[in-house]
Amino acid sequence: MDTLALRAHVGPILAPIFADPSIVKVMHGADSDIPWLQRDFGIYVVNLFDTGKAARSLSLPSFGLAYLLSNYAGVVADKRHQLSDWRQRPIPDEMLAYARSDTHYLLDVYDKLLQNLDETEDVRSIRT
Amino acid sequence: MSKAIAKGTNEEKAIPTPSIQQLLSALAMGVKSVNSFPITSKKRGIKRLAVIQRGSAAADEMNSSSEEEDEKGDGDYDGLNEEDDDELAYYLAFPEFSDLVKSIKGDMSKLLVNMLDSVEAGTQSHLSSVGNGDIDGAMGRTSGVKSFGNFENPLSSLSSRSDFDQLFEEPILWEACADACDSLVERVEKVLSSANEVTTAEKKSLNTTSSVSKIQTMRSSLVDMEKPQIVYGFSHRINNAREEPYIPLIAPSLPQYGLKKLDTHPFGDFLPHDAILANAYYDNPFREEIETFRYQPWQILPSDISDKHGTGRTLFSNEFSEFIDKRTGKLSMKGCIWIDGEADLRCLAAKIQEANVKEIAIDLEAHSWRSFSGFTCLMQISVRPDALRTEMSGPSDKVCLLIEFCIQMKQNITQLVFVIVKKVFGLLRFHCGYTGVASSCRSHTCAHLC
Repeated sequence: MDTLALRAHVGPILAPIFADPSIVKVMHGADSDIPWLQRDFGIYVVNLFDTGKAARSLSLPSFGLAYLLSNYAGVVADKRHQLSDWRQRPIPDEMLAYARSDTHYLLDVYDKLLQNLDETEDVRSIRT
Repeated sequence: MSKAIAKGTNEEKAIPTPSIQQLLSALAMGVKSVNSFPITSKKRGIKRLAVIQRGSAAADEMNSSSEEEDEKGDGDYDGLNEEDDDELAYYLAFPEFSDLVKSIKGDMSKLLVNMLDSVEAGTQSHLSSVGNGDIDGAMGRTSGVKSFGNFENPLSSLSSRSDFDQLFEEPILWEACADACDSLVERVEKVLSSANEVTTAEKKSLNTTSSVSKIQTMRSSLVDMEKPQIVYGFSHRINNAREEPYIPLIAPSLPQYGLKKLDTHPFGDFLPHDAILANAYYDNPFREEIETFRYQPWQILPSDISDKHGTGRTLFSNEFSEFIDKRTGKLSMKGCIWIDGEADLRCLAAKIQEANVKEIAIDLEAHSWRSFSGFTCLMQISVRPDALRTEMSGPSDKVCLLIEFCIQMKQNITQLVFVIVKKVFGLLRFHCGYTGVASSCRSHTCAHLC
């Protein structure tokens, strides 16, 4: 989604979805994303599942997305475009593929993390 | 030929060639030294320093106009005036302070001489790498007294402590510093000039090679970039200031999410006694959602996923995943839809809400190079593959039918057809041109939206 072209519309249109507690928003390392959403679009997030925080709770060897993708999805993450200039349009296919990989596997990784979290004391206490 | 070689075989230790970073550091240090240090309490000497930096023409001008400047009273350089000189002279009357200054001057002189050695080695090495040809001619310059970028340190023979102590007051040190600065500036210009001469073919190879570094990626993507703030007409400015309190941007069209002004500050008894209060405080516009939040029942049920590839079949399934480019083995743009229109965005939001989607994966890409706070450039959203597939209806169905029609044609006219369709029928426009995924749009519609 081109948030440059849609800057004025993203907030009004997507804010209800992001604030909807019945929709789980799965993100990785959302520490930066949350203020960006608030700052640029006035979007507040309700019911967030941060896979980075989950990895930390599970005391995994690494909390980075690259590790999660490698461990759960068998994918070697290409991080070359982390510092690319995302203002450019059209965005090159290679950068789009990189951007897509950030969320493409995330829901399945989220499922796997939930499975692992099922065994932890924290989740048991929530159930009770 | 480098100076180390030119000196013959007597020198067993070759002078190490400094890196460009070291040379730039030396250049910065040299400039700072020449411009900032009070090398003498004599006003005339200070003026001389500034002139060294401005060139010989300025020296002639200084000689002719010094009396006039004195009359105008603007003859002080770098903030040093007669009062400063008087104060320095006063403190120098104290033996401890005088010794300290003398010691510092000696250390600084030694440091500067070392720097000059480094510059000399660098320029000689540079000349050697270029070759002994007509460098001035190659650079389109007329041959002068000094070769391009060449610098010889006139103080390289100094060694004893007493030499360094006296050297600080000698103009030769500062003139040598100025010469070294000039040489370094010429070298930097040469390096920049060479960097700008990268051919188009080389740029292409930089973009395509798999071993391209992050820096190269950053450089290559900076070409002809226009400010999105201007191109897209951001309605509010990018705020780089840290002095102003953060006020969340709330959509005025959604009054239920509007800002509610608080009667008092929200800190209660935790307010520090020396805190400076803002003019107004606003409640969190989503306080109700946050405070009434409860985990959804299905969220805390034990997971029963047994498929090793996951419900989305993205885990360990590269060999047969429909989203993987079989040729490159990497994630393709198949099934991905680019949204850059308000109508498309509304369509997406409506479908997420109507289809009772339970989870969405989100990520953002932001830009913060030239803007301190940065701004969000891209939002990626993924949903479960089947979450939206059965919910297609209305205009989007027509678009998919049209897409299927379009893929019967050549790819390059697909975009044109979309534009016509949009203008004639007022339908949504799905950009599939450079994602090249028109063929998959129907079978995986909205499966992965970004």
